[in-house]
Amino acid sequence: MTIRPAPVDVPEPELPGPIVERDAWFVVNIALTLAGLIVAAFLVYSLFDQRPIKSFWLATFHTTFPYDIGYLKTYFTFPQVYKAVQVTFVLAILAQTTGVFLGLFSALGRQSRIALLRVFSGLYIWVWRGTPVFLQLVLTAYGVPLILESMDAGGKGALTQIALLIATSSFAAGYVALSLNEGAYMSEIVRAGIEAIDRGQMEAAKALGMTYGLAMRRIVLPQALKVILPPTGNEFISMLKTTSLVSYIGLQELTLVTLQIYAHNFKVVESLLAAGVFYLAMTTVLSVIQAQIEIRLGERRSEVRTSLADNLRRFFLGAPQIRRAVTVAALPPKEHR
Amino acid sequence: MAAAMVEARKVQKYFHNLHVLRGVDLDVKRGEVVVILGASGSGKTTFLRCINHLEKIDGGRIWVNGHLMGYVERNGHLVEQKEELVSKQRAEIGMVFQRFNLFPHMTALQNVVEAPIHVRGVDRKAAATRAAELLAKVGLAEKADVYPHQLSGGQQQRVAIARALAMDPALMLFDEPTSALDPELVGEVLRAMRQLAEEGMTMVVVTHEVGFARDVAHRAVLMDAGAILEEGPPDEFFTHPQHPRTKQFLSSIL
Repeated sequence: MTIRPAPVDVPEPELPGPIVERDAWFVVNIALTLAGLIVAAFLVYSLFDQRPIKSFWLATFHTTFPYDIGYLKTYFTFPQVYKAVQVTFVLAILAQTTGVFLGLFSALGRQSRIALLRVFSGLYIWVWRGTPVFLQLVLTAYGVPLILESMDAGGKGALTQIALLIATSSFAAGYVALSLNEGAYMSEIVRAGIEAIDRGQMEAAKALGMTYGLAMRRIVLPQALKVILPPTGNEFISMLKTTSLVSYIGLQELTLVTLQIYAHNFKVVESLLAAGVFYLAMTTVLSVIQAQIEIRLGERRSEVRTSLADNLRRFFLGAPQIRRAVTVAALPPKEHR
Repeated sequence: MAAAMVEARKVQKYFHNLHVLRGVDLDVKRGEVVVILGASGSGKTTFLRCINHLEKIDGGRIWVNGHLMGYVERNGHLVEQKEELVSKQRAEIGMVFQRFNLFPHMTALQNVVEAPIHVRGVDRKAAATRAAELLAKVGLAEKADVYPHQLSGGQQQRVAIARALAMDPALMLFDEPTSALDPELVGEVLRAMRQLAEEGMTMVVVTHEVGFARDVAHRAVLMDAGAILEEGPPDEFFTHPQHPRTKQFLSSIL
């Protein structure tokens, strides 16, 4: 066996770190980004400028797209649109929140020691995931009041009250139907989250004297949250769009109000596009918030902080796959290897 | 019975058709350190988990501190106790796992104070003071605010020991506490366990660490095929094993 000489305390010549070489894509990226920004600025400008055509480019644009784009601005000033956006948003938030809790309870119910709870939860998920949400919505709004009324013989009981509420309020009917539907999907998401947590966590908690409920609340669910949150964000975005179905039962939300507006002014394309822009704006805000929360959750245990600006850039421009460069300076000097 | 911390009689356990415990008899006296040895699949870990009722038993009886563990006896049959009562019983028994099972979303200190605060209802401040003492005791005073993933395996296991001790258990169960560790980290965990033994803690340890068994244990036990084959004081057990299976097992690990 040979004994290596101890490293001599001579200052090593500093080895240069890796450099970032700009390849051809750098130029392409810059060029395309600039072009994109110019086009986007031009489009936004043309939306809000209704004065007579000033340039050749604008003329070209208006002939190929003969619709009144400036209408978008007018559209938002309609009081019923403003109200409808509110209704859409509030309904989505309420139904999603209720759905999360329903999902949590039915996911736990499916693992319960009580057979009845297991069967009930299983049936609920089976039926609500297996039938169209539109059918559920219409059935809730028009069918359920009839069923409840016929069940309540006296005609003055709680069932009749519920029937009345659902029959008279399309918001209530939509809320009930969307919540129940969402709960069935959230149930699967919550279950996957709980199952992703190592069984040892529950065992360690129990060994410390925790009951199942306490262990779930303090140990398992907080960890499962990280798994549950991303798909829940997707569900929320999906929920926001699904609320448009409630237009069928007469709720004055964004889609129905749009239909009513173009029935009035015949601006069919413009109205629908404007509604689309509002939906897109709402879902975009949600996506950015979702991404921000995910990043925050991920970095809670590391020191890296990501700013909202970083996140926005990543959201709109994406992030390329990073090829890790070997850091030359990290290797020990040759003679000591 | 009063002197025995653990009293196991003819414990039976099946995993479906697999008969894993075939009548285990074991007494552990107060303050005694018992090491359970045995090949993998011999049922030693399962038996340990039966002691704090993480596994249900299919026959026999286990008393801990004089109380039937996890069950009440009715007309000669075992009836499982209510969850709250089982939890109360478990709170008196500390357990250390092979895979540590620290709570990754909590710091070392939060791991240690979690059960005292939420199970015992101990005041937050008192729990934190006590937890800091315990972390200092296992040599991790400066790691209180660090998350488990930033700790080495040996450090994680020592936090796990502190976490178990925070409940002031009457009995400590160790399930292969060093088996998941890199060799150079085994010593620090064994040192903490040895210190605990010297303070008079009653311990049941499933391990392959013969050195620890020799120096620290009062009694070594060999399990094979779901039953205890041989037991005795470590110096006798390791130098003059009686049963041929014991001889075979010891020659395979020494």
